[in-house]
Amino acid sequence: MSNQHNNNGWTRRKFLSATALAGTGALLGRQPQVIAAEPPPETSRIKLVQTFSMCEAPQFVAEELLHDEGFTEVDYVKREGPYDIADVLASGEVDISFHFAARLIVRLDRGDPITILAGGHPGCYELFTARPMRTLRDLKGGTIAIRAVGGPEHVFLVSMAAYVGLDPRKDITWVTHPAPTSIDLLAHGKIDAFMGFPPQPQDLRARKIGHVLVNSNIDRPWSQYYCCMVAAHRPFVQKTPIAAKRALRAILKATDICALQPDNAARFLVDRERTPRYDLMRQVLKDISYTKWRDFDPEDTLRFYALRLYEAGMIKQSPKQIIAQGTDWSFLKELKKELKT
Amino acid sequence: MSLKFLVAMLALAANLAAEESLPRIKPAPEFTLTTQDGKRLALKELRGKALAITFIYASCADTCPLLTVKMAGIQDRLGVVFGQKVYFLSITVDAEHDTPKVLKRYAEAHRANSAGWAFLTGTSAEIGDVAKRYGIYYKRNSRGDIDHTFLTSLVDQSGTLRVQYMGVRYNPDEMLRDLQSLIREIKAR
Repeated sequence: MSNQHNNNGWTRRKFLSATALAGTGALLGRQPQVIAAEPPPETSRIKLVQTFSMCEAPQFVAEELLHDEGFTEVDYVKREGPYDIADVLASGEVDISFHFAARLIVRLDRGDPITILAGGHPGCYELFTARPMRTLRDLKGGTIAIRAVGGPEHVFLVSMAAYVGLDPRKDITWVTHPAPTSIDLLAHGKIDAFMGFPPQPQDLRARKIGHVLVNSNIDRPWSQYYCCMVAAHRPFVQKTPIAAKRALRAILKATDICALQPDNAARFLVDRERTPRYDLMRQVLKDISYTKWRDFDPEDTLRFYALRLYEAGMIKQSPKQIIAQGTDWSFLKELKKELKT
Repeated sequence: MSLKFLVAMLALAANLAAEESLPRIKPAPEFTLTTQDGKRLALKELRGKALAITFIYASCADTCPLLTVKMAGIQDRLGVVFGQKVYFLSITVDAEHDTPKVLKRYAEAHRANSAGWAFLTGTSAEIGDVAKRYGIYYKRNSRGDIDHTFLTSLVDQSGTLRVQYMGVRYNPDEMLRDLQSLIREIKAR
């Protein structure tokens, strides 16, 4: 009994009880790490977006996985193109979606309620020129067709121009056309460049139209940053965090399936009538680096694009402010431990 | 060194260990299927063991054998705990052709130790249900092969899904470490 007390007033019983609790972090005032399995989502309905863009394929491959995560209603809200995604994310018509990083930054700068949750993949875009060019600076004085000022391809081209020292407001003439018209103009040499988005690059290559000046999946620095990231309507994340994490899990798991089994993923998408063209879909899935969602630091992407857009005068906030207000990486950190390849 | 400091250090070490433990995703979907020996086996009968659950089919000529060979390597490296504390389940996605007899031949061809590795089949409806609940998509293609997703799920001794490996190129060392982590949890109980 003599050693039951020591100079610090710690009894053996206290010591043993304290060390037993140590595993739960109680001594450090922290919550136990070993907790019960995740509860079901707070909502049984999840809304995603469907556009012509094929690089968002993981969202559709995720359909069954979303059911598996406890969403009994998986709705795809149809919109024309990727340029509409920011609007439906900001309005809450859609809960979660892939979208182009630079466009998300522009919307965050405007104060839209969007939260970026994870990186997705680099390399959707390819810049096609009517005649062979050596560098981006060769576009000085040229005419580039975009669908709309402020749209994803415009934002991307502005950041590219800023990166090589061009003034996108003075050095480039922007003309707006629907994509099919732009492709026709490019084929006839009536514009200098067009930024293609899947499946357009695959289609242009197959038809031997134009010359690829930049392939953002291969060419640095663009290939070193995410093109699409996974973003959500901010109240969806704040009010239903379990649903948000489960939805992100399904999308990232589907991203792995697209990366590792493009044939199966393409077949699934054809079966579900998400696309009629198996070969084209398969090529898109093989062209895009879907394996990268766990590799790059998503904040690097936001810093990179935010700086370019700030230089070009398209945003007012600093990269630090954009990251502080518009990101939440907590789910991503957890999911990297759950999903391995 | 004061006792309080020692306790704090122990607490920190234990906490770090807890942080390194695998996440808890959700209860692994239950199922009952037929083994290569023709016996019915329910997932819940394997409580108390760490499980690796994967999906293959016996006539798969390209990717499934890679996965099964990789798992056979892990089986060998686990040594005596294989079967006692760790159990593998390979579920066919070809209910039509993969009878228990076919799966038994497949298991023997891959040196699967039947003390800790069951190859499971069932009716088309049973297989369809299990595959769906584990997020596996499969479909017979025009060549007669079955396209399916490759996903290996690790389930702990209490039946909780802990980690999932996508594809077949995962690092077997990492899976071995994860299984050993689950074995340590069994021993700690």
